[in-house]
Amino acid sequence: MLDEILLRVEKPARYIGNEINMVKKGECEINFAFCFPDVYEVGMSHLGMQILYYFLNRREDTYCQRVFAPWVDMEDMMRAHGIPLYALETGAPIKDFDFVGFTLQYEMSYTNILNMLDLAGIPVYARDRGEGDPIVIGGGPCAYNPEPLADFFDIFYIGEGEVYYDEILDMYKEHKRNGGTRAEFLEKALSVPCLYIPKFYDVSYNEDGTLKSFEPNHPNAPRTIKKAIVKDLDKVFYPEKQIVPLIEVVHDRVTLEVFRGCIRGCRFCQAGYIYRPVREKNADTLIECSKSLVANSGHEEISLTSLSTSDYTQFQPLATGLLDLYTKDKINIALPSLRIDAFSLDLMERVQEVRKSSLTFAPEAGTQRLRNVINKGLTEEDILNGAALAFSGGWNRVKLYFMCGLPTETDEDLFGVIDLANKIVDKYHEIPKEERPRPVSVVASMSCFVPKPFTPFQWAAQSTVQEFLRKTKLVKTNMTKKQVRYIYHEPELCSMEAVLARGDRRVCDAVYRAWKTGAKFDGWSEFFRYDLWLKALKDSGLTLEFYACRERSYDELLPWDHINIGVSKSFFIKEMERAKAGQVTKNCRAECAMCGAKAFGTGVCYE
Amino acid sequence: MNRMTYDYRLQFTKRDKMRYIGHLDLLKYFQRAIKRANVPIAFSMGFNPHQLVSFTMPLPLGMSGLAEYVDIRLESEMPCDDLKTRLNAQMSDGMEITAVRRLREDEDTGAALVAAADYTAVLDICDPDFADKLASLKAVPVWEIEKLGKKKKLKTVDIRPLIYALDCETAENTVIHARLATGSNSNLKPELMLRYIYEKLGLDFDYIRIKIARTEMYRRDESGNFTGLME
Ligand code: SF4
Repeated sequence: MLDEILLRVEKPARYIGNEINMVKKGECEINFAFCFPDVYEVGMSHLGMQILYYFLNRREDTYCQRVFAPWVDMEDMMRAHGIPLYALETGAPIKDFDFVGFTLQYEMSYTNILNMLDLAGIPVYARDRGEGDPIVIGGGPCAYNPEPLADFFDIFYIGEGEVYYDEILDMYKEHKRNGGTRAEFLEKALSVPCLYIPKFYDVSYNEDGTLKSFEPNHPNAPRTIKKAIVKDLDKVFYPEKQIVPLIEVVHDRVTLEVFRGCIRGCRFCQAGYIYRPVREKNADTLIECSKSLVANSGHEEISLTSLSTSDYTQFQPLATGLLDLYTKDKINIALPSLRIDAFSLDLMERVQEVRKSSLTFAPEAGTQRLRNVINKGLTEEDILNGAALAFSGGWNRVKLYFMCGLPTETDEDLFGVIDLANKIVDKYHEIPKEERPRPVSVVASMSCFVPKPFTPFQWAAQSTVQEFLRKTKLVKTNMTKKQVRYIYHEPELCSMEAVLARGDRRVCDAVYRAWKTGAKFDGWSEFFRYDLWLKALKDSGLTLEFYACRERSYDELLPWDHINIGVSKSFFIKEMERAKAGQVTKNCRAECAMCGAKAFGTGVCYE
Repeated sequence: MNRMTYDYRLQFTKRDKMRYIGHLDLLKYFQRAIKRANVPIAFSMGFNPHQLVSFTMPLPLGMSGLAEYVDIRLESEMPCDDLKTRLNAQMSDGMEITAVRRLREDEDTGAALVAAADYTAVLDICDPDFADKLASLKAVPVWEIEKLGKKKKLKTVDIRPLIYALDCETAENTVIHARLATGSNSNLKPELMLRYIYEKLGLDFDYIRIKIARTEMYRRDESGNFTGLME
């Protein structure tokens, strides 16, 4: 049956597994379904999944298999023919697995999680699950505010997977051998410090809708859940292989994780805080690692992935080491998120083929004042000098990333965006005419600011959809230079993202209703249905304004206050005040800002 | 100077799950397998050097291939068995190198040579008289179909001369064996022939329900004899 269906859907290879380096095993005591709630090509490009896949599969007693969200055509076929959601490795229905783990990478994938559970035949609400149903566990960046999903998950794992999964699986194995119940296992799991088990906590609300209390209802449930982090990245497991997909995916290349965390502290960026402190890998470790990955994959490209690659202390030896090793084999080195300076340009010159790709800058805000507010340590001078340097080296395309609706933003900051784009065009024209064979092209892309938990801006109000529309229009009408192309995002989607990002447990109901009425693949603008979401909120008795556009006070109990990321709330308050005063905070290497992450006893705090 | 070339033809299968991989993805799959196997592949000249790998004939998505061909050029000589073992160590289930031979000096690529291919189609019908019906249909000398030609204009073509052999078996399943013109000069897709047969016999045609395999490919000499590409 499956065979016939596969020929009736788009890209059937999404659903067959059988890729290079896929793990094959016999019967195992523990079966773990690793689910990515988006389509195959997106999920397969995700490094974290590849790491955990091999990490779990290195255990003889565990078989970790992959699951992705079937595209709508496949879902229709599966539902029509009664085919339950299955794992790619063996085709086994995931309902029969011990664990079903979801990686929570972005808020707009939440309805896909519900849809996948339903397609699998697993009760969507945790409270409806019984013996024989898998334990549904969530991890990844969105697990740091788990509340909008709390009703659907049995467990959330807060932090880096390599730390406690062995302990959890050992515990589970013993439990299973002894014939323990589901409920007993969840109680036992309370002993693992990074696990949050929503059913052991009760929530109450004030009349105005804010949180009144958040209390454990079980004697062993910890008051705060502490994120797990790897102390030494050189010693932690890293796979020698990567799954090589049979079809083209978003990123199809060897990926080297150079460090975790970020020293910068941009005040809007959640990743910059939840992964603190920065921990680096040794360049030698990375080069060694790259050898087996290249040999086992046959990939033509190696990419360094980290939040801000230029901040890697051993960047030069690593980059030159990789180039020396691989240029002769025609393997390309991709260097995303580089700061543009003489060295990086020289490097890009070496790695690039004839056609020069575009340069990317992320000033995020149009004026220095606002860049100080958000703590983006990139000055106009940096950008213009970088661009000038690149232009004289033959580049002619520049991409600029901005955000709209940042705290304290005024129209003047928006005009600053236009100014900056124009100045870059002018910079290009400073080159003598005969030395610029092609016209310059500048793309200014503007996204909508979404306040996120665990950032100094977690208390901030988001602009309303109307404000966003007015602002983007303002920029659009005044962006008149023909060399500049202006791209902006849909504010409706961003405003729903803001609801989910800072939602409390009551938002679960809205997520459920949205899914029930047909919301899925919300992150894909062609599928996003704002009307369904607004109705779902309304029917749940909630408002978008309360979650997205309301400024919180410092003494409000926040839905994620029970999660401890190591960075203290008092630090975030201090940072928010500094933001308002336009004060810049130095990066971790320049001067420690005492954020609290030093308590983990590792990383940049001890350099 | 006449530079020595090391050209090899690989015969391989593409079946089961690997049927769902399209042609461009297959090319990438082979390029990576060659790299992992550490085969000394030769590269093209120019700005964007690519491996010298040439498939004889793309296999449509969903069809099984039991004797597909790809020609590759190496930088140095390698024993055929060695090449086969090394590449097979890199293949996924459903794909296997079944034979390798060194090409003769000045031998054309498979893509240039191929003139015919054998197909086996397991039909989704159950009709004890099918063999007779097919036999009488075969006796009709002209099989005209409408085809979208260049410039998107419908034109009428006779496909009967492109069918070099046609037989059927009606044991457990109804199976058609056919040898069809294949290649850049004249080419007949099995789908077109099957559709014609179904329509003439008044059957419902749902291509996906028919299981087709390409079982061999041939070149053809001046006197019309067929020789398998591995010979
Ligand atoms: S404690 Fe200091 S050095 Fe460590 S992460 Fe926080 S700010 Fe950076």
